[in-house]
Amino acid sequence: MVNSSVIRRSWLIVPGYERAPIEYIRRYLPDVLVLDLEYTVPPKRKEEARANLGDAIRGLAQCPSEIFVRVDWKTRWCDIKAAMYPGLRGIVLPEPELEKDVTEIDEFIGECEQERGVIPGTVELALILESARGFQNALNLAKASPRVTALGLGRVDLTMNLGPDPQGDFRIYPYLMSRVLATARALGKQPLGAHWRRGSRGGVDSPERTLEAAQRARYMGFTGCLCAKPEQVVPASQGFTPTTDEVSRLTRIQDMFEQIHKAGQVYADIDGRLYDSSKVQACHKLLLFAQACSRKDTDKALYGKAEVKQ
Amino acid sequence: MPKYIRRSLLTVPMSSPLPEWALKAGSDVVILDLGPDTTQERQNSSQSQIAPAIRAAAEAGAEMFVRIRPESAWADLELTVWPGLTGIVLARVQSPEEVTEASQQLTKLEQHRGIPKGSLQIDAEIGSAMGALNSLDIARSSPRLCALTAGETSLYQNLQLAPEAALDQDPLRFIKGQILVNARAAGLQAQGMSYPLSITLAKADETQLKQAVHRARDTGFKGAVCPHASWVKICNEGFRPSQDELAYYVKVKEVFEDGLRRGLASVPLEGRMVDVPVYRRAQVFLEWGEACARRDKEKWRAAS
Amino acid sequence: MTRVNRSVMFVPINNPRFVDKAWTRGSDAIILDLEDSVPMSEKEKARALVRETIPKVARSGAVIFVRINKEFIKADLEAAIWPGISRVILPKAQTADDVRLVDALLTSLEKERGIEVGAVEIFPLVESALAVANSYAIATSSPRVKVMPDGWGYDTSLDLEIEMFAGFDQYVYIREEPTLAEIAAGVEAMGGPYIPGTTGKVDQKEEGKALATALHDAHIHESIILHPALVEPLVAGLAPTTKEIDWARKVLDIYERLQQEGESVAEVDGKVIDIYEYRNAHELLEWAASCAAKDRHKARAVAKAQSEQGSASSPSVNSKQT
Repeated sequence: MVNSSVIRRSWLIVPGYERAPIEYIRRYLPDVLVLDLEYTVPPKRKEEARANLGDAIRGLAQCPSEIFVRVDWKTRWCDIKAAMYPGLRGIVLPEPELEKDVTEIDEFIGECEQERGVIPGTVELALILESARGFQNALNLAKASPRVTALGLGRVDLTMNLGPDPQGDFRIYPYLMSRVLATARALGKQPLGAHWRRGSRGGVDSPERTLEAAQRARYMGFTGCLCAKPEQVVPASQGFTPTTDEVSRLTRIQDMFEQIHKAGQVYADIDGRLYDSSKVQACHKLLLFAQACSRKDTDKALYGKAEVKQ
Repeated sequence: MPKYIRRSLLTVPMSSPLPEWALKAGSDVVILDLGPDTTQERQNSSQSQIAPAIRAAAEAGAEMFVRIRPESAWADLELTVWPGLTGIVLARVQSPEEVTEASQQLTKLEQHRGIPKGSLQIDAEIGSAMGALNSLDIARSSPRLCALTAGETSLYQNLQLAPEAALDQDPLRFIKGQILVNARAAGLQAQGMSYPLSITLAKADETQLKQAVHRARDTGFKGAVCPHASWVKICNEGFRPSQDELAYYVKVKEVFEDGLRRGLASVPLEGRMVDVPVYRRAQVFLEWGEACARRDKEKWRAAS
Repeated sequence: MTRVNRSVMFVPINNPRFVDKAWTRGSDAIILDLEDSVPMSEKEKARALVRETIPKVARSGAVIFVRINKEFIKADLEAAIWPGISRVILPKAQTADDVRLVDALLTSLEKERGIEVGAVEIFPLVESALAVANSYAIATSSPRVKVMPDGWGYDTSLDLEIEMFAGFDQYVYIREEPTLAEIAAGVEAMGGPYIPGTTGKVDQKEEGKALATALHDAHIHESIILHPALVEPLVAGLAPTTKEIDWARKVLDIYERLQQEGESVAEVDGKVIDIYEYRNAHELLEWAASCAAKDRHKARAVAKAQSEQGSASSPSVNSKQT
């Protein structure tokens, strides 16, 4: 139903009351723009933010970034309704815990799609796990609706009050990452998250450390992460993109294996490591992904004025 | 102590006769790999080669397993299950049903081919996220199961971890821990290697390989799949208590038994307290050491 | 949270020297052990000692736990569940049913012996691969389960047939899967007695400090210890510092003002104040109050016992002024 192999490396969170969210896109070029009704919107501006979404989404119609809306769990019904306009790609749902919650929301989105003339079934769900119960129940949550295309870790250092461990990680954070990864991959969903470490707060960190966090996450199998601040977008996108060094190394492996394979061998010893066709296939997949990232970044650069550093 | 002494599981591509290096390697187990080719032609040409290959390896002292591919499981089983085989490795198991289906087919083949009923074992290789999540149910799904193997290269690909990435810690450590714990919880043992050799399968130098094997052992794995014959000796020596450890455990046993005679349940030894669990461990490790020595003797006799 | 068990100290019940000194150690909690520190030949004798030992060790104001044997659940509980026992430590809990069996026996003993029904907690020890695999089921098996450890320990390492300390963290899944299950079940995580990378030697004060720091950072409030030398560093180290308390009070004040103005985030002294800081500050102040109450309780108990006894030995009690 939905093409979940789309490139979504950076998800920039912007307060829902922003009158000209297009400026964020022009300037920072995130793969996804998340109009927020949750953390970044104080209680006294919630109404204003909801009322603003219709115009905001319409105004973003031609831009290269996909548009999601993050709802506040406590007011999710009226937040979802406020977000439902043609042009909305999906809802970011923080803190889900029970399957029935996800099923109810799936149905409610369906009703709203109908009311507002959005093509039925097209609005996606990105589940962001932020409680122990959510992680415990991750498989069932992700299975609970076909709208779910992404499963991620949220700001668990804050929501679960995880202190640091002696290695400089947040306690059990790498384990939570591993759990999200396995669950997402088992069901063909995109795993979202970055390897935030001690010194960061709720996924907020310096551009340098964001690049590292994204890169480590990519090595671990993740495809993108939420960016709480605009300065984190470029490093996040970069971190989730294969580097030029990697691309040349993989190309070399691919070429060498082809030659050896033509000569009739099944295994190749390249630089002391063993490769078979399935390993080389994985390299090939990554090269295709690198090319797709390249194309996407070029398209975005044509749209925006900011330079995308490679 | 582990139920089976299977420290080195040498992967050998199917050929007839089996190459000398495979027979001489001295591994505890030989895993016949049918390779990626599943065409009918390849199937037919292998039919007559399998049974003698199995016999040859068994005579050389190794237990024989065949790696069964999920996309051609039925055909692979028909082709390869002959007397002399200890069991099968089911590649990339995702669900308990795959195990029960294979088990049923094994029962039929045992019947028709004069193999003692229920004797063929199953080693379930977990090579996917879904398999890892289902690993406890998989481990409990059949009495034929002897082990879970952490199929690291498959896991790496299935989880889409960046190939060639150099991380300071094994990104699969939790999933491997899960596979290991679930195997033990079901009374099975687990096979696996440590990072990064688990995925690079490099021809590492001896020191590196030794360290890697010890790490795998200290995590709880009882053996590893060997992609090279050069891994075999180091796995045989590494997946067992060391001589130093055995010497320590002999002391533990003596000191504790002496303490018992004096009515104490807890005695100091070299700065640590030796109590019932420590004593039990000494017994387990000493038995394990003895079982490894017996297996080595067996293989030595078979080789000469 | 009123439960304050910063240090949970084992006392081998059949060793009169340790029993007599136990109340002088200043530990928040004491475990009377009927299991691994008592040889099989002494188990009967040990059981008979529990009832009279309770008041001896309770002189310090510590709460008293008992560790029973998995093989002698009924006999041990019958000998041990008297007023004054607040928790049963169940070794080798493998399944939810193991816990439920103990739950049922506790209920009938509580009714018989004038203990509030449901008051005695169960602390299941996760000591095998099977227990780790079942950790969520165990954590949710009974309302008596309020605290639980992770799976790391000698028995688990024996079940897996691996060395206890091998110079790297061999137990990542075994520690972290039960931890997640426990948090998900609303059960508190118990820490100790080892931290990764330690040598296993049991009487080093430095290790006590390191353990306390690691647990404090990780927001863990309870820890089992094997040696009295670790009592003081843990009782001190797991209580909030004055600095933390002052900051928490400031956070409360700032956030409540924000709320009144319909705001939700502010930055003060370079630190973010939001709903998460507010929740943490609340919990910290509750914990600080509980620790202070426990310290006062212990001080009063010790003073009373000392005056009754005219004892020459002065116990080490942490009386933090907050």
